[in-house]
Amino acid sequence: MMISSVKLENVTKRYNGTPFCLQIDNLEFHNRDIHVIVGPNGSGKSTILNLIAFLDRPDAGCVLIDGRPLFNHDRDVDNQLRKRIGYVRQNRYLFDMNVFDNVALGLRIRKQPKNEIASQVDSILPLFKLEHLEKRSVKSLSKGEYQKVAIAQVLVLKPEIILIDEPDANIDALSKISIEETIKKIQKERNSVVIMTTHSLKQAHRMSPRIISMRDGKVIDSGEENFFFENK
Amino acid sequence: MLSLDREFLSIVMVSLSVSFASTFLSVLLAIPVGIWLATARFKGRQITITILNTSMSIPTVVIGLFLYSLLSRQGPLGGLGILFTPAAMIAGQCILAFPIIAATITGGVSNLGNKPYIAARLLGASHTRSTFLFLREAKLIVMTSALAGFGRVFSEIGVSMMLGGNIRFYTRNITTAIALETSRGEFGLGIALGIVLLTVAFLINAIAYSFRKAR
Repeated sequence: MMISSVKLENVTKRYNGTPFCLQIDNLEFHNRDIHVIVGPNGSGKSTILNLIAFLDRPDAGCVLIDGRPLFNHDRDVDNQLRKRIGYVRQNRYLFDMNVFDNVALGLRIRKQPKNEIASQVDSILPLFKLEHLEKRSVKSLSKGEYQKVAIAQVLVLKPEIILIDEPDANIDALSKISIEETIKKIQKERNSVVIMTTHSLKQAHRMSPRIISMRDGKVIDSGEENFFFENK
Repeated sequence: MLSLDREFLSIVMVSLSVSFASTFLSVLLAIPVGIWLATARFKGRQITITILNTSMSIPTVVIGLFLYSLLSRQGPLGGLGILFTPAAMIAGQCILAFPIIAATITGGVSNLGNKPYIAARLLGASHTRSTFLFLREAKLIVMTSALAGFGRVFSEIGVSMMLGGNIRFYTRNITTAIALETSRGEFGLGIALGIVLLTVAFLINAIAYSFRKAR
Protein backbone atom coordinates (compact mmCIF):
# COMPACT_ATOMS: atom_id res chain seq x y z
CA MET A 1 0.00 0.00 0.00
CA MET A 2 1.22 3.49 -0.81
CA ILE A 3 2.46 5.67 2.01
CA SER A 4 -0.01 8.40 2.80
CA SER A 5 1.11 10.05 6.02
CA VAL A 6 4.25 11.24 7.77
CA LYS A 7 4.01 12.43 11.33
CA LEU A 8 6.40 13.96 13.86
CA GLU A 9 5.25 13.46 17.45
CA ASN A 10 6.80 15.35 20.38
CA VAL A 11 10.10 15.49 18.51
CA THR A 12 13.11 17.32 19.89
CA LYS A 13 16.56 17.45 18.39
CA ARG A 14 19.70 19.36 19.30
CA TYR A 15 23.24 19.18 17.99
CA ASN A 16 26.30 19.04 20.27
CA GLY A 17 25.04 20.98 23.24
CA THR A 18 23.49 23.78 21.16
CA PRO A 19 20.06 25.07 22.14
CA PHE A 20 17.13 23.09 20.68
CA CYS A 21 17.23 23.19 16.91
CA LEU A 22 13.90 21.40 16.68
CA GLN A 23 10.97 21.24 19.09
CA ILE A 24 7.79 19.93 17.53
CA ASP A 25 4.70 18.77 19.41
CA ASN A 26 2.76 17.44 16.49
CA LEU A 27 3.28 17.88 12.78
CA GLU A 28 1.56 15.73 10.19
CA PHE A 29 1.87 15.60 6.42
CA HIS A 30 -1.29 13.66 5.80
CA ASN A 31 -2.12 14.07 2.15
CA ARG A 32 -0.46 12.79 -0.97
CA ASP A 33 0.34 16.31 -2.02
CA ILE A 34 3.10 18.90 -1.97
CA HIS A 35 3.88 20.30 1.48
CA VAL A 36 6.23 23.24 1.75
CA ILE A 37 8.19 24.03 4.89
CA VAL A 38 9.27 27.63 4.88
CA GLY A 39 11.44 29.57 7.27
CA PRO A 40 14.73 31.40 7.64
CA ASN A 41 18.13 29.68 7.86
CA GLY A 42 18.51 27.68 11.07
CA SER A 43 14.78 27.35 11.62
CA GLY A 44 14.94 23.53 11.57
CA LYS A 45 13.61 22.84 8.05
CA SER A 46 16.45 20.54 6.98
CA THR A 47 16.46 18.80 10.36
CA ILE A 48 12.87 17.69 9.76
CA LEU A 49 13.84 16.19 6.39
CA ASN A 50 16.92 14.52 7.90
CA LEU A 51 14.74 12.89 10.54
CA ILE A 52 12.23 11.60 8.00
CA ALA A 53 15.03 10.30 5.74
CA PHE A 54 16.66 8.21 8.52
CA LEU A 55 19.74 10.46 8.47
CA ASP A 56 19.21 11.52 12.09
CA ARG A 57 17.40 10.19 15.12
CA PRO A 58 15.32 12.49 17.28
CA ASP A 59 16.57 13.03 20.85
CA ALA A 60 13.01 12.51 22.02
CA GLY A 61 9.68 11.70 20.38
CA CYS A 62 9.30 9.83 17.15
CA VAL A 63 8.77 10.08 13.43
CA LEU A 64 5.95 7.88 12.15
CA ILE A 65 5.28 6.80 8.60
CA ASP A 66 1.75 5.50 8.17
CA GLY A 67 1.68 5.13 11.97
CA ARG A 68 4.89 3.06 12.16
CA PRO A 69 7.81 4.64 14.02
CA LEU A 70 11.20 4.84 12.26
CA PHE A 71 14.20 3.04 13.81
CA ASN A 72 11.92 0.85 15.87
CA HIS A 73 11.67 -2.03 13.43
CA ASP A 74 14.25 -4.62 12.65
CA ARG A 75 16.91 -3.50 10.20
CA ASP A 76 15.29 -5.16 7.16
CA VAL A 77 11.98 -3.40 7.72
CA ASP A 78 13.77 -0.06 8.14
CA ASN A 79 15.80 -0.68 4.97
CA GLN A 80 12.64 -1.44 2.99
CA LEU A 81 11.05 1.76 4.29
CA ARG A 82 14.22 3.73 3.56
CA LYS A 83 14.00 2.67 -0.08
CA ARG A 84 10.52 4.18 -0.35
CA ILE A 85 11.86 7.60 0.61
CA GLY A 86 13.78 9.81 -1.84
CA TYR A 87 15.80 12.70 -0.46
CA VAL A 88 17.42 15.49 -2.47
CA ARG A 89 19.66 17.17 0.08
CA GLN A 90 20.65 20.81 0.09
CA ASN A 91 24.21 19.57 0.25
CA ARG A 92 23.80 17.58 -2.97
CA TYR A 93 26.50 15.23 -4.19
CA LEU A 94 26.78 13.60 -7.58
CA PHE A 95 29.34 10.89 -8.24
CA ASP A 96 32.30 11.25 -10.58
CA MET A 97 30.44 9.61 -13.48
CA ASN A 98 28.45 10.85 -16.44
CA VAL A 99 24.85 12.05 -16.16
CA PHE A 100 23.33 8.74 -17.27
CA ASP A 101 25.34 6.68 -14.76
CA ASN A 102 24.51 9.06 -11.93
CA VAL A 103 20.80 8.88 -12.63
CA ALA A 104 21.03 5.10 -13.08
CA LEU A 105 23.01 4.53 -9.87
CA GLY A 106 20.07 4.04 -7.52
CA LEU A 107 18.43 1.63 -9.97
CA ARG A 108 21.68 -0.34 -10.21
CA ILE A 109 21.86 -0.47 -6.41
CA ARG A 110 18.34 -1.93 -6.51
CA LYS A 111 19.61 -4.53 -9.01
CA GLN A 112 17.12 -3.63 -11.74
CA PRO A 113 17.67 -5.28 -15.14
CA LYS A 114 19.83 -3.33 -17.62
CA ASN A 115 17.09 -2.66 -20.16
CA GLU A 116 14.73 -1.51 -17.41
CA ILE A 117 17.39 0.89 -16.11
CA ALA A 118 17.95 2.32 -19.59
CA SER A 119 14.25 2.86 -20.18
CA GLN A 120 13.68 4.45 -16.73
CA VAL A 121 16.61 6.84 -17.16
CA ASP A 122 15.60 7.67 -20.73
CA SER A 123 12.12 8.54 -19.54
CA ILE A 124 13.18 10.83 -16.66
CA LEU A 125 15.94 12.82 -18.43
CA PRO A 126 13.61 14.58 -20.91
CA LEU A 127 11.41 15.79 -18.03
CA PHE A 128 14.37 17.87 -16.89
CA LYS A 129 15.60 18.59 -20.45
CA LEU A 130 18.77 16.65 -19.70
CA GLU A 131 18.66 14.07 -22.51
CA HIS A 132 21.38 15.82 -24.55
CA LEU A 133 23.71 15.74 -21.53
CA GLU A 134 23.46 11.99 -20.98
CA LYS A 135 27.15 11.28 -21.68
CA ARG A 136 28.52 14.44 -20.07
CA SER A 137 30.55 14.26 -16.89
CA VAL A 138 28.70 15.90 -14.00
CA LYS A 139 31.80 18.01 -13.38
CA SER A 140 31.13 19.97 -16.55
CA LEU A 141 27.50 20.82 -15.71
CA SER A 142 26.16 24.24 -14.75
CA LYS A 143 24.67 24.65 -11.27
CA GLY A 144 21.15 24.41 -12.65
CA GLU A 145 21.94 21.25 -14.62
CA TYR A 146 23.69 19.72 -11.61
CA GLN A 147 20.62 20.43 -9.52
CA LYS A 148 18.33 18.84 -12.08
CA VAL A 149 20.48 15.70 -12.29
CA ALA A 150 20.46 15.42 -8.49
CA ILE A 151 16.65 15.61 -8.46
CA ALA A 152 16.31 13.21 -11.43
CA GLN A 153 18.63 10.74 -9.64
CA VAL A 154 16.14 10.55 -6.78
CA LEU A 155 12.88 10.76 -8.75
CA VAL A 156 13.86 7.95 -11.14
CA LEU A 157 13.57 5.61 -8.14
CA LYS A 158 9.86 6.49 -7.89
CA PRO A 159 9.90 7.12 -4.14
CA GLU A 160 6.56 7.40 -2.40
CA ILE A 161 7.86 10.17 -0.14
CA ILE A 162 9.94 12.80 -1.91
CA LEU A 163 11.98 15.13 0.31
CA ILE A 164 13.59 18.12 -1.39
CA ASP A 165 15.71 20.57 0.55
CA GLU A 166 15.90 24.02 -1.03
CA PRO A 167 15.47 23.00 -4.69
CA ASP A 168 16.32 26.48 -5.94
CA ALA A 169 19.57 27.07 -4.07
CA ASN A 170 22.06 28.94 -6.30
CA ILE A 171 20.25 28.58 -9.61
CA ASP A 172 18.80 31.01 -12.11
CA ALA A 173 15.11 31.91 -12.32
CA LEU A 174 14.42 29.87 -15.47
CA SER A 175 15.90 26.66 -14.04
CA LYS A 176 14.02 27.32 -10.81
CA ILE A 177 10.65 27.51 -12.55
CA SER A 178 11.40 24.47 -14.72
CA ILE A 179 12.38 22.40 -11.65
CA GLU A 180 9.23 23.48 -9.79
CA GLU A 181 6.99 22.56 -12.73
CA THR A 182 8.64 19.16 -13.08
CA ILE A 183 8.23 18.40 -9.38
CA LYS A 184 4.54 19.35 -9.54
CA LYS A 185 4.00 17.24 -12.65
CA ILE A 186 5.69 14.18 -11.16
CA GLN A 187 3.82 14.54 -7.88
CA LYS A 188 0.53 14.65 -9.72
CA GLU A 189 1.37 11.66 -11.93
CA ARG A 190 2.63 9.49 -9.09
CA ASN A 191 0.38 10.75 -6.32
CA SER A 192 3.33 10.85 -3.93
CA VAL A 193 3.93 12.80 -0.72
CA VAL A 194 6.32 15.67 -1.47
CA ILE A 195 7.85 17.63 1.39
CA MET A 196 10.10 20.46 0.32
CA THR A 197 11.78 23.30 2.12
CA THR A 198 12.46 26.81 0.99
CA HIS A 199 13.23 30.17 2.49
CA SER A 200 11.34 31.90 -0.32
CA LEU A 201 7.74 32.79 0.46
CA LYS A 202 7.03 33.31 -3.22
CA GLN A 203 8.26 29.85 -4.11
CA ALA A 204 6.26 28.31 -1.28
CA HIS A 205 3.07 29.88 -2.66
CA ARG A 206 3.89 28.80 -6.20
CA MET A 207 4.34 25.21 -5.10
CA SER A 208 1.41 24.52 -2.81
CA PRO A 209 -1.22 25.95 -0.50
CA ARG A 210 -0.05 23.50 2.18
CA ILE A 211 2.59 25.60 3.90
CA ILE A 212 4.27 25.05 7.25
CA SER A 213 6.05 28.08 8.65
CA MET A 214 8.96 27.57 11.01
CA ARG A 215 11.13 29.72 13.18
CA ASP A 216 13.72 28.78 15.82
CA GLY A 217 12.93 25.09 15.49
CA LYS A 218 9.22 25.49 16.08
CA VAL A 219 6.20 25.39 13.82
CA ILE A 220 4.63 28.81 14.02
CA ASP A 221 1.89 28.29 11.48
CA SER A 222 0.58 25.54 9.25
CA GLY A 223 -2.31 24.65 7.02
CA GLU A 224 -3.91 26.17 4.01
CA GLU A 225 -5.06 29.22 5.90
CA ASN A 226 -1.64 30.57 6.59
CA PHE A 227 -1.80 33.63 8.79
CA PHE A 228 1.94 34.01 8.86
CA PHE A 229 1.97 34.82 5.17
CA GLU A 230 -1.24 36.69 5.11
CA ASN A 231 0.19 39.07 7.68
CA LYS A 232 3.38 39.58 5.69
CA MET B 1 77.04 6.25 -20.57
CA LEU B 2 73.47 5.15 -21.01
CA SER B 3 74.23 1.68 -22.38
CA LEU B 4 71.85 -0.75 -20.71
CA ASP B 5 74.42 -3.06 -19.14
CA ARG B 6 73.46 -5.71 -16.61
CA GLU B 7 74.60 -3.74 -13.57
CA PHE B 8 72.78 -0.59 -14.62
CA LEU B 9 69.54 -2.53 -15.18
CA SER B 10 69.89 -4.37 -11.87
CA ILE B 11 70.32 -1.08 -9.97
CA VAL B 12 67.27 0.49 -11.63
CA MET B 13 65.17 -2.65 -11.10
CA VAL B 14 66.07 -2.84 -7.38
CA SER B 15 65.08 0.81 -6.97
CA LEU B 16 61.78 0.39 -8.80
CA SER B 17 60.75 -2.94 -7.24
CA VAL B 18 61.59 -1.97 -3.65
CA SER B 19 59.94 1.43 -4.00
CA PHE B 20 56.81 -0.01 -5.64
CA ALA B 21 56.48 -2.70 -2.97
CA SER B 22 56.96 -0.29 -0.07
CA THR B 23 54.55 2.27 -1.57
CA PHE B 24 51.93 -0.42 -2.18
CA LEU B 25 52.12 -1.71 1.40
CA SER B 26 52.06 1.82 2.80
CA VAL B 27 48.97 2.67 0.75
CA LEU B 28 47.18 -0.42 2.10
CA LEU B 29 47.94 0.69 5.67
CA ALA B 30 47.38 4.39 5.06
CA ILE B 31 43.91 4.18 3.43
CA PRO B 32 42.01 3.08 6.56
CA VAL B 33 44.09 5.30 8.85
CA GLY B 34 43.70 8.35 6.58
CA ILE B 35 39.95 7.89 6.17
CA TRP B 36 39.51 7.25 9.88
CA LEU B 37 41.42 10.40 10.83
CA ALA B 38 39.47 12.43 8.27
CA THR B 39 36.00 11.26 9.20
CA ALA B 40 36.05 10.15 12.86
CA ARG B 41 35.67 12.60 15.70
CA PHE B 42 37.51 11.55 18.86
CA LYS B 43 39.53 13.07 21.66
CA GLY B 44 43.15 13.39 20.61
CA ARG B 45 42.38 13.47 16.88
CA GLN B 46 44.16 16.77 16.32
CA ILE B 47 47.27 15.68 18.20
CA THR B 48 47.30 12.41 16.20
CA ILE B 49 47.18 14.39 12.95
CA THR B 50 49.95 16.68 14.23
CA ILE B 51 52.13 13.67 15.09
CA LEU B 52 51.44 12.20 11.64
CA ASN B 53 52.40 15.46 9.95
CA THR B 54 55.54 15.75 12.06
CA SER B 55 56.63 12.22 11.23
CA MET B 56 56.69 13.17 7.53
CA SER B 57 59.98 14.91 8.20
CA ILE B 58 61.76 12.16 10.15
CA PRO B 59 65.26 11.85 8.65
CA THR B 60 65.75 8.64 6.69
CA VAL B 61 68.87 7.76 8.67
CA VAL B 62 66.87 7.87 11.91
CA ILE B 63 64.42 5.31 10.49
CA GLY B 64 67.41 3.31 9.22
CA LEU B 65 69.05 3.40 12.64
CA PHE B 66 65.83 2.45 14.43
CA LEU B 67 65.14 -0.54 12.17
CA TYR B 68 68.82 -1.53 12.13
CA SER B 69 68.73 -1.82 15.94
CA LEU B 70 65.64 -4.03 15.68
CA LEU B 71 66.83 -6.22 12.79
CA SER B 72 70.52 -6.65 13.68
CA ARG B 73 71.52 -10.04 15.03
CA GLN B 74 71.35 -8.84 18.66
CA GLY B 75 68.07 -6.96 18.09
CA PRO B 76 64.60 -8.22 19.05
CA LEU B 77 63.78 -9.02 15.40
CA GLY B 78 67.24 -10.33 14.54
CA GLY B 79 65.85 -13.85 14.21
CA LEU B 80 64.06 -12.86 11.03
CA GLY B 81 67.41 -12.58 9.29
CA ILE B 82 66.29 -9.88 6.89
CA LEU B 83 68.91 -7.22 7.54
CA PHE B 84 70.74 -6.29 4.31
CA THR B 85 67.95 -7.71 2.15
CA PRO B 86 65.34 -5.97 -0.04
CA ALA B 87 62.73 -6.92 2.62
CA ALA B 88 64.50 -4.72 5.20
CA MET B 89 64.64 -1.87 2.68
CA ILE B 90 60.91 -2.27 2.02
CA ALA B 91 60.15 -2.21 5.76
CA GLY B 92 62.16 0.97 6.22
CA GLN B 93 60.66 2.68 3.20
CA CYS B 94 57.18 1.75 4.42
CA ILE B 95 57.83 3.66 7.64
CA LEU B 96 59.08 6.54 5.53
CA ALA B 97 56.15 6.62 3.10
CA PHE B 98 53.30 5.85 5.50
CA PRO B 99 53.01 9.29 7.18
CA ILE B 100 53.16 11.11 3.84
CA ILE B 101 50.47 8.94 2.27
CA ALA B 102 48.23 8.85 5.35
CA ALA B 103 48.48 12.62 5.91
CA THR B 104 47.70 13.35 2.25
CA ILE B 105 44.69 11.01 2.34
CA THR B 106 43.51 12.62 5.60
CA GLY B 107 43.67 16.09 4.06
CA GLY B 108 41.98 15.06 0.81
CA VAL B 109 39.22 13.02 2.42
CA SER B 110 38.56 15.81 4.95
CA ASN B 111 37.76 18.08 2.01
CA LEU B 112 35.60 15.42 0.38
CA GLY B 113 33.76 14.79 3.68
CA ASN B 114 31.21 12.03 4.06
CA LYS B 115 29.01 13.38 1.25
CA PRO B 116 29.58 10.44 -1.16
CA TYR B 117 28.83 7.93 1.61
CA ILE B 118 25.59 9.67 2.62
CA ALA B 119 24.57 10.14 -1.03
CA ALA B 120 25.00 6.40 -1.63
CA ARG B 121 23.09 5.49 1.54
CA LEU B 122 20.22 7.76 0.49
CA LEU B 123 20.07 5.97 -2.85
CA GLY B 124 19.55 2.73 -0.96
CA ALA B 125 23.11 1.33 -0.94
CA SER B 126 24.25 -0.91 1.90
CA HIS B 127 27.06 0.18 4.22
CA THR B 128 29.57 -1.93 2.24
CA ARG B 129 28.49 -0.61 -1.16
CA SER B 130 28.41 2.97 0.17
CA THR B 131 31.97 2.54 1.47
CA PHE B 132 33.03 1.16 -1.93
CA LEU B 133 31.42 4.14 -3.70
CA PHE B 134 33.13 6.47 -1.24
CA LEU B 135 36.52 4.89 -2.02
CA ARG B 136 35.80 5.16 -5.72
CA GLU B 137 35.28 8.89 -5.29
CA ALA B 138 38.50 9.12 -3.25
CA LYS B 139 40.61 7.23 -5.79
CA LEU B 140 42.37 10.32 -7.13
CA ILE B 141 43.25 11.36 -3.59
CA VAL B 142 44.70 7.90 -2.94
CA MET B 143 46.64 7.91 -6.22
CA THR B 144 48.05 11.38 -5.63
CA SER B 145 49.13 10.41 -2.13
CA ALA B 146 50.67 7.17 -3.42
CA LEU B 147 52.71 9.16 -5.94
CA ALA B 148 53.89 11.51 -3.19
CA GLY B 149 54.95 8.49 -1.12
CA PHE B 150 56.65 6.83 -4.10
CA GLY B 151 58.57 10.03 -4.87
CA ARG B 152 59.84 10.13 -1.30
CA VAL B 153 61.03 6.52 -1.12
CA PHE B 154 62.43 6.38 -4.64
CA SER B 155 64.87 9.21 -3.92
CA GLU B 156 65.86 8.33 -0.33
CA ILE B 157 69.29 6.96 0.54
CA GLY B 158 69.52 6.60 4.34
CA VAL B 159 67.17 3.64 4.72
CA SER B 160 68.53 1.85 1.64
CA MET B 161 72.14 2.25 2.68
CA MET B 162 71.69 1.24 6.34
CA LEU B 163 69.19 -1.59 5.90
CA GLY B 164 70.11 -2.80 2.40
CA GLY B 165 73.86 -2.57 2.75
CA ASN B 166 74.40 -1.56 -0.91
CA ILE B 167 75.09 -5.17 -2.01
CA ARG B 168 75.82 -5.44 -5.74
CA PHE B 169 73.06 -7.15 -7.81
CA TYR B 170 70.96 -7.53 -4.66
CA THR B 171 70.23 -4.38 -2.66
CA ARG B 172 72.15 -1.73 -4.58
CA ASN B 173 69.69 0.85 -5.83
CA ILE B 174 70.02 4.13 -7.71
CA THR B 175 70.76 6.39 -4.75
CA THR B 176 73.22 4.07 -3.03
CA ALA B 177 74.93 3.37 -6.36
CA ILE B 178 75.30 7.10 -7.09
CA ALA B 179 76.90 7.61 -3.65
CA LEU B 180 79.28 4.70 -4.23
CA GLU B 181 80.27 5.66 -7.78
CA THR B 182 80.84 9.29 -6.78
CA SER B 183 83.08 8.27 -3.87
CA ARG B 184 85.05 6.11 -6.32
CA GLY B 185 85.37 8.97 -8.79
CA GLU B 186 83.31 7.02 -11.39
CA PHE B 187 80.98 9.80 -12.45
CA GLY B 188 79.68 8.18 -15.65
CA LEU B 189 77.40 5.59 -14.10
CA GLY B 190 76.49 8.03 -11.32
CA ILE B 191 75.31 10.66 -13.81
CA ALA B 192 73.37 8.06 -15.86
CA LEU B 193 71.61 6.90 -12.71
CA GLY B 194 71.01 10.50 -11.70
CA ILE B 195 69.27 11.07 -15.05
CA VAL B 196 67.02 8.02 -14.40
CA LEU B 197 66.21 9.38 -10.94
CA LEU B 198 65.32 12.81 -12.31
CA THR B 199 63.27 11.31 -15.14
CA VAL B 200 61.21 9.20 -12.73
CA ALA B 201 60.78 12.24 -10.43
CA PHE B 202 59.60 14.28 -13.42
CA LEU B 203 57.15 11.55 -14.49
CA ILE B 204 55.75 11.29 -10.96
CA ASN B 205 55.17 15.03 -10.84
CA ALA B 206 53.59 15.03 -14.29
CA ILE B 207 51.17 12.24 -13.31
CA ALA B 208 50.41 13.92 -9.97
CA TYR B 209 49.70 17.18 -11.81
CA SER B 210 47.31 15.44 -14.20
CA PHE B 211 45.47 13.89 -11.19
CA ARG B 212 45.20 17.29 -9.49
CA LYS B 213 43.85 18.75 -12.71
CA ALA B 214 41.31 15.93 -13.00
CA ARG B 215 40.11 16.65 -9.45
